[in-house]
Amino acid sequence: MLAIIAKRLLLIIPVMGVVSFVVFGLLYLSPTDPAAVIAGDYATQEAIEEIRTRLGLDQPLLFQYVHWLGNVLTGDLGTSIYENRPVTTVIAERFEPTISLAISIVIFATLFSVPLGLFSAWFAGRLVDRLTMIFAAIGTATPLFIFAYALVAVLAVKLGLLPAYGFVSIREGVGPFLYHIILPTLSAGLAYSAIIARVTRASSIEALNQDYMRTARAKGLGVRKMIFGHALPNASIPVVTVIGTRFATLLGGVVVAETVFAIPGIGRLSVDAILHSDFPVVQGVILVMSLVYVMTNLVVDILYTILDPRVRQ
Amino acid sequence: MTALSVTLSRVAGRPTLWIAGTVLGAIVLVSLCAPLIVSADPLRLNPMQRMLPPSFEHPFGTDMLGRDVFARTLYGGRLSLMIGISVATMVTVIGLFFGLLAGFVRWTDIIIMRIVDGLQAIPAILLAIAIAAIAGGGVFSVIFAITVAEVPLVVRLVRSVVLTLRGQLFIEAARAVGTPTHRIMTRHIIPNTVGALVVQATYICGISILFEAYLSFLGAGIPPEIPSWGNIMAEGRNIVMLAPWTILCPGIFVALVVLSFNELGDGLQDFLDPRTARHL
Repeated sequence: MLAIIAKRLLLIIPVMGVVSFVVFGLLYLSPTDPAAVIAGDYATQEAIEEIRTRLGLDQPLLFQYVHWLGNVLTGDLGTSIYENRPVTTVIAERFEPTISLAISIVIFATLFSVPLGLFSAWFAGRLVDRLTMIFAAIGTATPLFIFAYALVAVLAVKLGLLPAYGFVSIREGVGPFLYHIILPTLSAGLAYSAIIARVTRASSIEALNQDYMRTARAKGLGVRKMIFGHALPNASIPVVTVIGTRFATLLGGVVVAETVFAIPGIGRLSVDAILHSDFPVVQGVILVMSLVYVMTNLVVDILYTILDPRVRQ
Repeated sequence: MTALSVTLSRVAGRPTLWIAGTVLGAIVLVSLCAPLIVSADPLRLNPMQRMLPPSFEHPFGTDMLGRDVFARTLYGGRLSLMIGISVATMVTVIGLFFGLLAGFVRWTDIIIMRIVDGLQAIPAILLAIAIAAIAGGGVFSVIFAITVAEVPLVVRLVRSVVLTLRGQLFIEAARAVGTPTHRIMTRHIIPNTVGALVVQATYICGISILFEAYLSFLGAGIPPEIPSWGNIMAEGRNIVMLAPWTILCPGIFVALVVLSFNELGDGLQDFLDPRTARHL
């Protein structure tokens, strides 16, 4: 078990190496000159040159990369051009809303979609199942800001039940936190829960057709025991995989939801940084989010070996 | 039963495939024939007619600058569909090339696959926004950005097909009788990747259209001069509560097209590989 974890941890190094290379390369493919961005609109050529020298932007590329990577490895992601503060601070400040939203979406999608997928598999081919599949198809095909605005229009504007925007930290109370996070979760979680519902359904149909299910039925096991004792544990494995492999879908949803609901998270930060040509923040965000992604997959792989003894061999 | 009748009966057994094909065909047709269908100019500003709700004259209403949303949606379809098809084509060609290379030439495999791993570790939406913004914004930047985000999947797919085939008896036999590698590739390997590639390309067409919508919505997509489904919705963002039709109408088009592409992909998958067909 420890050997597997150690091996997987080692595999992260080359992946993150490539990510760092891409992230660093992005800056140099850009036609925008970071020194000019920092200097501002009315800077003289000398001022731009001075900044270039100060930041080491006139050094050879490889040298700059090594220098930058050295800083990154010691936890220094540079200084935001736009906010003139350390990138690590800027990212840290924005981390909580994004993580809260992401976790909330995963919880919602799991609680909603796993039973739905299981139910749909049990009644495969019947009306409930058809409806679930239609929901899953629409959920993955519709731009999720459409759902977001539709929910805002009905639940926030018309009925006034929930706030239309904003974020409240969980430290300020669970009530206000939930009050603000329900709408973003529902709208961003739709595509994600559609995928989980579909995968749960497929894996449950497979699990329900296995020999051990026939045995269970033959020995007179109740429906509840059959589902919760046999089908669910076996169907849950692919669902865990989805949480890992579809992290990108989840994050895409979070980014859009942060824009719609004016949530000051990483998603909005990265989009703004990219649009402002705030390169250190762009690099930092992509690096951090990729690391989170890779680590999520590592955790999923470990969970996988715990859930499925067959993988351990 | 002949092969053709088997095919027809299988297609006939999936009414959703018919619907998807028809919807997609209809949307492509109205987008291509936009000038024949609407007389309104999608770019003409009309300050007197701002944010009018849908009516007989303006079936999808007008936007914040008084432009006809129906005309914009039809014309926008041209660009959005073009983006979908371009990305799918580029991803297929590039993916096939690097997939074959990785599958055939040992020493390139490790390099290509590490790059693929790295690219896949970067959340697609962030990678695409960054590339689109850095490449300067515009139609080609968007196509390029979505292509980079989607291509690793296809490289992986082609490589896995190559690796599976390489171990099979008929390839070994071809090798044994002295068939040169390039011939094995063109005669045996490439034809066997076509099925999987066509299915993927169909999905990617839909995904790319959705992707364009997100990029434009977030401000890193197609500039507002040329209408695309994405930027029509992006422009509707600020007036969404006053004129929801500016977002809803193109949004429904996007959803229908993506839905149809996904359904076509599923259908093609079942058709090309009946073993995986869903019998439910």
